Amino acid sequence: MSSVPLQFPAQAAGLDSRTLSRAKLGDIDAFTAIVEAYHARCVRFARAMLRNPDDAEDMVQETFVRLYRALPRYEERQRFEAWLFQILGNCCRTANTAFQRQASRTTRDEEAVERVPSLDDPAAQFDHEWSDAVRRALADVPEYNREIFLLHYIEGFSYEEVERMTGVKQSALKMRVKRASDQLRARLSGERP
Amino acid sequence: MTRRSLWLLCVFVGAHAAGAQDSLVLAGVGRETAVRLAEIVDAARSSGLPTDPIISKISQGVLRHASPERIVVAAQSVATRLEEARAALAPAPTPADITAGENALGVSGVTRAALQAVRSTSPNRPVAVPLGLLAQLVASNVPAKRATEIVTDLIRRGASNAQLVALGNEVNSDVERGVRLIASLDVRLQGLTAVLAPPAGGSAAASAPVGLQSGSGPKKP
Amino acid sequence: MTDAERDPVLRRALDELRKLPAADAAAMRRVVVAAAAARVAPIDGEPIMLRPRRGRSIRMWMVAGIAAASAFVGFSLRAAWTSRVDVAQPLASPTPAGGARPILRAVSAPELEGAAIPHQFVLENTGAHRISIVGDFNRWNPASAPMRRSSDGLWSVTIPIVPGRHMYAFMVDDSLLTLDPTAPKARDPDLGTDGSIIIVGRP
Repeated sequence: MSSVPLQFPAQAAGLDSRTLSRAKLGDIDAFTAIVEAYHARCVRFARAMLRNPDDAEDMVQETFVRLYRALPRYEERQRFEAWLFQILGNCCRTANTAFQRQASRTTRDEEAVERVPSLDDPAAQFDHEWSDAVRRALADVPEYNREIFLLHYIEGFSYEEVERMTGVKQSALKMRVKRASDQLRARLSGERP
Repeated sequence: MTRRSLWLLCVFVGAHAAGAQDSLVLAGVGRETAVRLAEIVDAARSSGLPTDPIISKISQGVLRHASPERIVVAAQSVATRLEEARAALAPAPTPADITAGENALGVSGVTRAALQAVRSTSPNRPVAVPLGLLAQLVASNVPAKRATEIVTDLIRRGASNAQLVALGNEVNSDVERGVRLIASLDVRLQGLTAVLAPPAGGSAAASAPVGLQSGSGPKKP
Repeated sequence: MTDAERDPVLRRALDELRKLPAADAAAMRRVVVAAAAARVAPIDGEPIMLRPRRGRSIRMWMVAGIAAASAFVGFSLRAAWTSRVDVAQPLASPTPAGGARPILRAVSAPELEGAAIPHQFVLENTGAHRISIVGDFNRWNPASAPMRRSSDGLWSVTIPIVPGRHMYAFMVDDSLLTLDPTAPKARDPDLGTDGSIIIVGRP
């Protein structure tokens, strides 16, 4: 069994403040370093958040474009990662809303709208049966619970930080994470490991 | 389609087309110019040189409506000076040092020897500010040899970057008010060296009178 | 012990969900090109009205500028993936208590000396509608540092600038490059044009 500590998952290579300062000046090399440091994590988050995981790469690109344009005004009032994932979360939520509107125009099956499409998602890196089961189960968790679950348990943000990022009080955040955990456990306990 | 989205479409078409050179051809710069500029940037990067100064020069050239030919020559000149600066500031100059060295070498009269002199006086610290002051003194018609002596002497006396910058600002303010550069520099140098430690060997190079580039020679106090 | 730690099924699910996708260099390249191109474009969506050159339309000239920037970024990226910028410790990381605080990393004096320093530029101009500062420190990009106007016609902006000597100018109403009357000037050795000079150092 894995002994990965649950509350402090492995972080991507971080930034030093000089790289950030240079990126704020428009230094494309420094910005490239930022993209390299966080791209995979952002794709991981976006694939788990989006109703259509195929849009993950586009969503991550949109996020970094917004971030780069806003960088000169970034005043480091919050941790850089928190700011990045705040933007990414906003992008994903907006995309999901647009996807839902479009999907509801093309299908009357509301259950299908909620479900994450395509088990044979070509972007999926793992065709392991357990992997698919986990992702299916997560996709069935309501978006507002799923996002907090991902930010806290997968990306490692504290409740305090997530409160700042989302505006949702910590007590409500903990409830959402618990509901997501309960739902995942219930779904996956029935699956063959 | 809005105007902005049309531009962004052009951008993305340009960025993703087979060869970003295509977008420059569309804009009339010419495929050859685009290829040449990209080669210059690539070559500099491949040899480990900072490319920001080259890209900055190209952007400035575009902004100032310089001809494509002139922009290419400018970009190549920057690349050449970057290489010279790296050699002069050896061993192991930082990208910031190399950029500052390139900037200084761009001022007529500043030589590799001047860069080497500053480097050897300050082997373990960034040299962007001392080289910046050196370059600006020479650009203001202080003889290069004299400007180098001033800067290296101040470094040897332990002048901080802040003090070097302040010296430049004070001289500039004086000149703005109509004071002659020589007079201002003489006075301000004396003021600064008075609060600094004497250099090893007791040389008074920094506080000696300054002459002008035109060949009038140093003036006796 | 948290709820998640107690449950073996959940632990395995988290292990699965934490797996990172493989690094996708092509996707990262597209990100950087798109971001850099977007940075050159006016932030507020309004066109930058440059004087037409030899009768060309303004729009095409702006496309040239944007496309030029994206092309250079595109070509620069080829080697960018092989030359990594040094990365050090993260700006902050979670602590056992669940909060995050910045890691205090010992910074050497040379490192500190190289850090960008905020500098304020001020220009008096009562007639202009828009002024931005352009220079070596922001790749002469008019969209990078727009200035803010006070009621007395004083325009200002504060931007971080790395130590050293920089040439700059003010872009007035997107069409006119103006020197700083309070700064020394110098001639650009390659373009033959005049610019204002600033030398920045740590205070």
